[in-house]
Amino acid sequence: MKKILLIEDNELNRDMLSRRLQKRGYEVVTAVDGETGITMAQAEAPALILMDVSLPGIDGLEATRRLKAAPQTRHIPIVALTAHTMASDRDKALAVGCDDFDTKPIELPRLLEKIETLLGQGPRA
Amino acid sequence: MTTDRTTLNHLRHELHTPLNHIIGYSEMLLESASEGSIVGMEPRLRELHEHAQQLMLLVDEVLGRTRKDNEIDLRRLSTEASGPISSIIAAADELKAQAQQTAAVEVGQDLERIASAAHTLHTMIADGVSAPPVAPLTDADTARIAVVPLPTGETGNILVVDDNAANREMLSRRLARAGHRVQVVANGPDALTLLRQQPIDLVLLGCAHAADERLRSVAAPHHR
Repeated sequence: MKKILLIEDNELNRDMLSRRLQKRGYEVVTAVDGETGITMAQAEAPALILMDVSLPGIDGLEATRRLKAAPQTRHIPIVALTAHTMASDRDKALAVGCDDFDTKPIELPRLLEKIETLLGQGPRA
Repeated sequence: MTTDRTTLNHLRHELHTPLNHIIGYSEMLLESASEGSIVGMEPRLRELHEHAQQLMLLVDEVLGRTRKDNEIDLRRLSTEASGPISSIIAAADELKAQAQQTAAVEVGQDLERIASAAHTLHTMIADGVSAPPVAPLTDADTARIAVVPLPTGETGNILVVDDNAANREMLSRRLARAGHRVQVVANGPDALTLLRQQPIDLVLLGCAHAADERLRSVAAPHHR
């Protein structure tokens, strides 16, 4: 079962997305801020990270920068999640090393497709 | 309301958050309904989901189309959002009662989250829209408002101020059943007008109006 780390500060968004991913066969671990997210990425070695961009403390962009700079975590694909739909947000996320980008409200089929593309297969492969 | 792009983005984000919760949770419940683990709720859930989508379009349209001088038409947002928001709350409450009967605890919790997000949205929109100007009450006005504590068991004249029709209806019926004489108004200016005309023992003020300075001036003498 593939493990996804969801870094998201909003409790309801975390609850929704983790339950929906679990239902589709993924194992989901969660973190509420950038610092915890970095620690968990090292400890849990997830197959993929979903990163909310606007996090308290170290924001999602900075957390991505640090994860992509560390040899232990740099290979983990990161999908940035943001509420903003402006092209500049997308560019910023990609510039710091995010592998893909999605906007809220989450359209689950669209996000799943991105996750599956990055993982190469479905949840259980 | 005049605003710059940062404020606009912030406002959009603030309004999107509860909307995303309503849409997300209703989609999850619809998924469960299509899998057969929730029975008999699908039509109402679908309506609820559509109302939320409609609100999202409205928010994006109002915030996307800034008028001259970068002014956002919050009044339009307030007017047009109240119907769908009330429908969402009503549907969520109804489905919640249904979930309770069938002891579907998790479904009930998700519906509660939807209702709570809809209330949040309602308050945010109501707070963002300033009421039309009305003259503040004078000392003579406030002096005429009866400030007599009711002994336990006695009834009184109660004024309910709430812009949500469902809340007004519910509260006034329950108070009337308890023997009180109840009057309802939907907004601050109407409340002030009525307070000038009649003796009122108690004002029950919806949260959205609690920030209204003019109404606070009415409440102030009572709190002494």
